[in-house]
Amino acid sequence: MHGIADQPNPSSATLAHRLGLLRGRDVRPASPDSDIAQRIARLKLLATEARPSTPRGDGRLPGETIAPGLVLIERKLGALQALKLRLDLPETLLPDWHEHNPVPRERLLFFDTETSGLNGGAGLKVFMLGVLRWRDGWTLKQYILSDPDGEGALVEAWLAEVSDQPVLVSYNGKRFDIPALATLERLHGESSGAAEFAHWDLLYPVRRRFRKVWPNCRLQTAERLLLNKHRVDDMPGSEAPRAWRDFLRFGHTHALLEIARHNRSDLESLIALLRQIGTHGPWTLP
Amino acid sequence: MSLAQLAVKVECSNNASPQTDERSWPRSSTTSVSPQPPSTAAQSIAPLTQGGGQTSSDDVDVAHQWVSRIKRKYKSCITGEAVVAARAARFAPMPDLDPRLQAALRARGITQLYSHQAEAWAALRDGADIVVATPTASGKTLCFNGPVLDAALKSGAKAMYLFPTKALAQDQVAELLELNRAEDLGVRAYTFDGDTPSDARQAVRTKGDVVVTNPDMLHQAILPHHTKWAQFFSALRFIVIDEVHTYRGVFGSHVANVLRRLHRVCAFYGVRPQIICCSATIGNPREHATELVGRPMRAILNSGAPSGEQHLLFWNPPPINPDLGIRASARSQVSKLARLAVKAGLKSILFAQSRLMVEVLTKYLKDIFDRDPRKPARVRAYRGGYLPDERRLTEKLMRAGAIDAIVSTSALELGVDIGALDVSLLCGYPGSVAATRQRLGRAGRRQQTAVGVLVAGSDALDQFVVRNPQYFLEQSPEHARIDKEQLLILLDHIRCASFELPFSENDTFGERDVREFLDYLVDEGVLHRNGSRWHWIDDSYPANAVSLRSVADGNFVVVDRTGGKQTILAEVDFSSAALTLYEGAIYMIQSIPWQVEKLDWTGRKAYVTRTHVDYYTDAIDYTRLKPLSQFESAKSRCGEAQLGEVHVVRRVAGYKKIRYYSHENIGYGPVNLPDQELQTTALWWRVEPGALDEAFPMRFEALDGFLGASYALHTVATLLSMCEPRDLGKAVGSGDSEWSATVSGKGRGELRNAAGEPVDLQAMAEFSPAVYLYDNYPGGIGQSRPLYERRQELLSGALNLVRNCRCSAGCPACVGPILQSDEQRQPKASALKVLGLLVA
Repeated sequence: MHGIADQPNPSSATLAHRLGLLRGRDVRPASPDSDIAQRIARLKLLATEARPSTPRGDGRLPGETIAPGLVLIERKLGALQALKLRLDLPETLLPDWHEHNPVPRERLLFFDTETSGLNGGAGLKVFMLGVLRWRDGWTLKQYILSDPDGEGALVEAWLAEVSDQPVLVSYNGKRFDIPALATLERLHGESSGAAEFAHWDLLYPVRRRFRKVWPNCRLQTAERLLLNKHRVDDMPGSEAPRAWRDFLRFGHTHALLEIARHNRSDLESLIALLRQIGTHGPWTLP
Repeated sequence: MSLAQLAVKVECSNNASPQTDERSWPRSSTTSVSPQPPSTAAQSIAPLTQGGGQTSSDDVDVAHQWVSRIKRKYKSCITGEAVVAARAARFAPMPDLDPRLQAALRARGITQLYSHQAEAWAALRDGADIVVATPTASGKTLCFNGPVLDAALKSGAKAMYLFPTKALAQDQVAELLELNRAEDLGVRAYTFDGDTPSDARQAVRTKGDVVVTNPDMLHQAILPHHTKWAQFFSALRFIVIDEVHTYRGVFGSHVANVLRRLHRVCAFYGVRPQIICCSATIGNPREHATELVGRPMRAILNSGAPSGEQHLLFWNPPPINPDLGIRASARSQVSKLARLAVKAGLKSILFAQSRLMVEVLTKYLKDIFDRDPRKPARVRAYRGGYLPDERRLTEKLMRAGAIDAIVSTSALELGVDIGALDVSLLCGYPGSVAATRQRLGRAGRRQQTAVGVLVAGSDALDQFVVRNPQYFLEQSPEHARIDKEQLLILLDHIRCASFELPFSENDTFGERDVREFLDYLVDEGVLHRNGSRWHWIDDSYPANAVSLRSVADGNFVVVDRTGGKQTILAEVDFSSAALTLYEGAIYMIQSIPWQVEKLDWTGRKAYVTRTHVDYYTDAIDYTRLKPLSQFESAKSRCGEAQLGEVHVVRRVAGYKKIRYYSHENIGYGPVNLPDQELQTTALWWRVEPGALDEAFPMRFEALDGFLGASYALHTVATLLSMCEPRDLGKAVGSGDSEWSATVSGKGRGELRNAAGEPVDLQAMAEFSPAVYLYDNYPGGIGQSRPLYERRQELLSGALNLVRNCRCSAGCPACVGPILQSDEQRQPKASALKVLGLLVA
């Protein structure tokens, strides 16, 4: 049977107008020739409603476009800076939770993603993937989706990063980042097997030790209380979804680059945290 | 309806199986013993220990004798009778099956198939998608369990079963496990619902051969997370959708769109599972399943299962005041018949139209049969709103034969396993032929005579049916209707579908082109378009915002705080909360009264305490409408008919206290609750003020006429569109929502303004009433337009209904009830005059 919905009628020609009526937003009867007027009015309304408060930025992303829709920002951390940030990790590591042979630091892959939301599911987009590895010094690679269509390329990049089956290091990566990446892999018919890799999720040792002492075990709490690191002008990760949307919709780059900075800061903290809790046996508060 | 409300506690299959053991699987077998016992012994397994307690093999006679005695004694009440002859079984040989499955079936006493089962299996083997619509207890489950298990054993194929409720899902898993256990088939069947613990979900996803779930879970948990189910989807061969007749109206329109999403996800994993639908008797099983599933379906309609003789009586309660059309209540008649049946040792089921009536009937029967509190109860109530444990207990007691009479709402219309019954008593016409058949079909699973009695209430539809039994008997059951293109529903699911997989340029949603919707969602900021693809970029999880069962969400819990402690007694869905949980309301469970002391509307809680009163309460509500836009209009003799969109506001204004047994009205109370609003489609008629003033010297007569006309139009519209009465709303009001009219507690038409205050009829400058019929769903569900197109038929039907009624001034069978004191008024004549003005 056919309902009225699929029978166009002149008095409410546009979808938006009909929806408005059903939802009781616009209760004025429509005049037959109001099509274009309605559309413009609606667009104006949307524009005012959705005007972002994020600063615009100059519209350009640094780095290199390595595939359509995928930008790579790569940088090496200077030795001096690394020392200042306490990223001086020993050449091999054997944390108390790792039961096998000592792991050379080249084998470690620190990673952190920024996503379009927190609810999970197939519609969750990983728009930024930060990977930090020791390659004669710390090398940071940040992959940023400049368009959702770059997702396939992002998956390929991820598969390449983990092709040597590194030891993963993350903060809550087991429950969040790895499943999010696994979803992407599935959507693109790939499988990295990363869920099966050795994975040092530092949330767990931190939580075991401090659950009852700290107000919460978020990364920034650990930074403050364990590393005495205080972030300045950090854009919180919760702003990430909006930063990416505003970039896609309006071309605003400022907030997105702030998120990249936040992502880098998270990764650096991972190293410092591992240095603190993973290098000398049973560990205690500094 | 939220998932929480669906929450029916998981009964561990180990616990459940002892009851389902003998009963669920060979449901077909219980009726398979045809009048001439089949010589083949096929399917006739060892005599089942029916829980019937006192019932024995000479049951046939008892039910038969009972119905003969009733017919003799109450001749004047019986307006019609039909006997459905017993039918012998038609068998077909067992096709080539995996030997293990064959052995398991044999162990369950099944060595042959009924003809319709064989037909279903053959169709599936051809690769067809099928819908099986055969009567209750004809062994529908074997139509899908056989092929599904066979494919699972032979090729590791997986299947998804969808049931409308959790209780049915769990019955089904118990049944599968039972068959599985018979031969240790190693097929893993799991339920996946809101109660499945999160640590068990992984196993269900990766290890389940048969996953039994419901549309709500599919919509909210499975499809949005399809990547977690990749393994399952990649091997999915069958999708079984049971009770498809329940997927109609808004719910059905939602489910049809969920299935469009399912097809999309299946295509992504490169599979195209075959679909098996099962349905109760409806008028259009093939069309409905085709519309629901979005694929052409092959229908299997001829049951090969045997059935016992069935007697159907049409019962009109004796008149008390013939002039006013007042009769004894259906309630009194049903409780009398139930008393007689229980005393004759027959198991009865009573169907009431409302939860309130369930409680009242239960009380009346308990007052007779359960006076001694030390003995186990012989009468129990069953309805939505009871906690799952309570319902499981009742089901269990029923199967064990410990209950003599069960009183239920439509909740027991579906295939919940409650064992065998002899008598089905319907307190009032359920509103549709299909539901009536379904309820009557609840009695008579065995070879014995079964009796169904349809007891008419006083309103028009009931009286029409009981006075024209031939009409009912010849009428084909209603068509199940859905409108999957309903704008809001469609948009909701396109949103969810975009989340699950990006749309590309040439993609459709079902057959539907969705460009316009995608562009709309881009404007809304949740999708991002890049050339040929639309990606989800929002941070929300859209399925959470979409409930398949109702528009407004949030169930109310009923909290007992008698004696200081707080216990949850029941759950009430949002739509009926305003009508049952207002402060002062008497809320009943198993006919024990609690009084609502406080209603926390935003917190969705009603606090009640145990009370001892001799009355119950009934809400008084009224409806106001305002036209928003007009799609079409046509001149009538003195005004016009219109089709368009309206804004409906429903308000509960107060309640009546009604004393038990005497049913006198012993007081009123005010209710102060938020209005319930909806936008929907409607058709309406207006009369030019001049013409109206000319036809009616007194305005109150015109108002009486409009109210009467709306009553008659609603009755005829319900029959014409073959819908249930509650699917279609009626109202009388001014065209601009200035006022609305209702029949007050005193039986007179009353006007109220937007603030709910009474309005003086004569003092108004211009009196321009309109009569509305509207789709009782947000956005409409496609009933108003066909009614608008058939408006002449509708008007002449209403004219005939009123004109041919045998009452003098008006009665519940034509223009609605009138009171004795109002005999000098002529609502019937006024209604005829108004209907005359509306005709083109």
